[in-house]
Amino acid sequence: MEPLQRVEAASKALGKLAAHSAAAGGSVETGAASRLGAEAGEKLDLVTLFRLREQIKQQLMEYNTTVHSGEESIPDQAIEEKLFEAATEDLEREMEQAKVSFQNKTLVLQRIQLMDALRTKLRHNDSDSKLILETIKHITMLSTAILESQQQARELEEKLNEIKKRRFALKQAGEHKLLQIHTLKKKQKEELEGMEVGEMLKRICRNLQKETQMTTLIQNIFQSIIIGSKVNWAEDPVLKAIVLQLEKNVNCI
Amino acid sequence: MSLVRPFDKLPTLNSAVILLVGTDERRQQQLAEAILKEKKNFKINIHVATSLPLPAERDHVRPRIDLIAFMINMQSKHSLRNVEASLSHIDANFFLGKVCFLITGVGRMNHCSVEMNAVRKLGNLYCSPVLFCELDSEGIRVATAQRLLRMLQICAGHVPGVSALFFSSLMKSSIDE
Amino acid sequence: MDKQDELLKEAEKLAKHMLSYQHDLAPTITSNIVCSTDAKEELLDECEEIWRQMEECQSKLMLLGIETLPESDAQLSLLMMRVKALTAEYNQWQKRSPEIISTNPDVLVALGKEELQKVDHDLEMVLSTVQSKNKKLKEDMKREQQWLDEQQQLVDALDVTHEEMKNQVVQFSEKRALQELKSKMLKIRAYKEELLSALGEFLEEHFPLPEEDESAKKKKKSPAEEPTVQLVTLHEILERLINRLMSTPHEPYLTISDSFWPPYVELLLRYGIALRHAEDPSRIRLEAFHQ
Repeated sequence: MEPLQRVEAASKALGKLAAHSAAAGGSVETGAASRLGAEAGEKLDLVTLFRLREQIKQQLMEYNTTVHSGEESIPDQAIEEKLFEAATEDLEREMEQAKVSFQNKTLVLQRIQLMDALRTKLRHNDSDSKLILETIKHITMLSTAILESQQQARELEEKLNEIKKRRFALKQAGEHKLLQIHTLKKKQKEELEGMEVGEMLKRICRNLQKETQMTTLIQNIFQSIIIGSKVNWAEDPVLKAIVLQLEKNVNCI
Repeated sequence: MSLVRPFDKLPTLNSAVILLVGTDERRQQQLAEAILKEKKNFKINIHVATSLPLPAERDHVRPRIDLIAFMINMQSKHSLRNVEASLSHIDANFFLGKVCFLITGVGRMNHCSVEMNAVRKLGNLYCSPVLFCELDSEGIRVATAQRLLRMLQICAGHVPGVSALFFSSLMKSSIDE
Repeated sequence: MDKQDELLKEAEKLAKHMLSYQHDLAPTITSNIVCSTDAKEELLDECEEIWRQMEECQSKLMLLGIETLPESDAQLSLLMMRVKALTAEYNQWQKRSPEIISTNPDVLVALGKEELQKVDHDLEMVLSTVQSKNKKLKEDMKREQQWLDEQQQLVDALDVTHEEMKNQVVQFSEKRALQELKSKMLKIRAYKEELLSALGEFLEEHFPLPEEDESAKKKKKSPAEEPTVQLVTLHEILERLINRLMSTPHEPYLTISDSFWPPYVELLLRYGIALRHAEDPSRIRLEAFHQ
C-alpha cells in the first residue's frame, strides 16, 4: 500500500500547489512541481498509471472469482468425473468466446476514443500535435515503403524461380547432349574398328613406306659422301642447294 | 505448521513473487539468477526452499506468493518424494493455475530412476503444467527463465484478460495435443 | 450485435462529450503538468476504488478459511474446484461490458501517443525485415544468374563439340585417303629421282672410274684368257648395296666382287657408308640410315 499512498499524497500536494501558483504566476509552478515530482520517487507518467490500473483490475477479477467460486454449488447428481471434464471444456470454450467478444468491443471503443482525442489534439496545432502529426506521417511513409518492398519481394521471387527453372532445363539439355556425344563417340569407334581398310590402301601404304626409306637412305649416303669427300660445297651454288635439301625430312612431305 | 495460501495477503503493486521448491539447491540458484537477468518491467522476488511447509516465523514478512515451481530431478527418486510430500501443504486454490512442475535430467535416459509416467500422472492429478528442461545447458536455462517469467506475470495478474485459471486450461489443452 | 450498436452509440456520445469538454479544460497558460495532475488524480481515484474492493474480497476470503485437497480422490475434488472457479470467472466475463479508457482527454492523448509510437516502432522493424529479405533475394538471384550463364556456356561448348564430331564422321572417306597417299608417293618419287640424278652427277664428277689399261682394251679380241674384270662405277656399287639392303633386309651383306675397285670400297668404309661383315672381311653391307 505504501507506494500508492505516496503517489496519492504527492499528487494531492501537486494539485494544491498548482491551484496556488495559478494565482501567483507561471515560473514557480514548474520549478516546484518538478521538485515534488522527483520527491515522489516514481516515474509517474499517465501511461504507467494506466497500466497499473489495468493490472489492479485484473487482480480484482481474480479475487472475485475465488470469492464467488466458493459460493457456487454443484448438484449432487453431477458429481462424476466424466461430466466434470465435459463441463470444463464447455465452460472454457464459452468463456473464451465471451472474452474475445469483450476484447474486440473494447478494442474498437478504445481506438475510437484514442483517434478522436488525437484528432482533436491535432487541431490545437502546438508542439505536441506537431509531433503527433510527424509520427503519423512517418507511419504512412513506412507503410507505403513496406508495401513497395513486399511488391518487390514478390517480383524478385518470381524472377528467381524463373532462373531456377531455366537452370534446371539447361542442366537436362546438357545431360542429354552429353549422352548424344557419348553414343556418337561409341559409334565412331565401332565404325573405325569394323571398317576394312582396303587392300589397295594397305599396299600403297607399304610402297610409300619403302620409297620413303629409300629416299632417306639416299639422302644420308649423299650427305656422307659430300662431307667425306671434303668438297667445299658452300662455294658451288648447285651443291649448296642440294646439301640444304638433304636436310629435308622425307616423312613430312 | 502453516499452509501456503494464494490470497492470504494483498498483492504488492507492480511486483510478483515466485517460490522454487526442490532438493537441488545448485540448480535452484542457477535458475533464480537466470530469471533475475531477464528484462522485465516489474519487481520480482524469488524465494527458494527445499521443501514445504515453510517456516512459520517468517510468515508475516513474506509477501503473497504468486507461483510455485516444483523442481524434480529424474535421476533422483528422493526429489520426487520430497515434492509429493510438500504438495499436501498447499492450499488447494494454488492448483488452479499457480503451480507448475519443472523436470530436469531427462536427457540421460539410462540414468533415470524416476518413471516418465509417474511425472505425467502427477501433472494430470494436480492439473498443472509439466515443463521439461535441462537446466545444465545455458540456452535452455534462459528459455525456461523466460517461460517462468511469463507464467509469473499471468499468475500475479499483470496481464489483463488472462487469468491463471484460463492460462492453465490453455496449457493443458496444448499438452494433450 | 445490439450490444455492439449500443456501445458504438455510447462511444459517439462520449466523443461529443469530449468536444464540449474542451472549453472547460483549456485555460490560456497551461503547463502540461497541471493538466496531467487532473488526469492523474482521476486515475488514482479509480485505482483507489478498485483497491478498496480488493480489500473487501481479501477479508471475505480470510473468513472462508483454508482448503486442502483430500488424500483420496484428489483429482475429483480438484476438478470440482476447477469447474466452480471457471463458472465464476465466466459469469464475471459475461457481466463485464466494454469499458472506456477514461473521460480525460490528456490520458487519451498520452495513450494515443504511446500507441502511435508502438505502431511506428513495429512498422520500422517490419520494414527492415522485408528489406533485408529483399537484399538476400537479390544476392541469391545474382548467384543463380551467374550459374545460369556458366551452365549456358557449358551447354554451348557441348553443342560445338557435338557438331564437330558429326562433321568428322562425314569427312572420313577412303577415296580421300587414297588420293592423299598417291600424291604423297608421287612427290617422294620425284624427289628421289632428283636426288639420284644429282648424286649420279656428283659421283661422275668426283669419283670417276679409273682409266682402263690400254693393253686390256687391246686384248679384247682374244676371248677369256685372264679377262680383266670390267670395273663398275661407284654409283653402280652403291646401287647394288642399296638394292641388297632393301630387297633382303635380313641378309644385307654383299660379297665384294672383283669389279669393285678396292679404293672405292675403302672409301665407302671410311665414310661410314658401308660396313664390313664382322667375321667375313669380303662381305660388306650398307649402313642402315633409314632406320
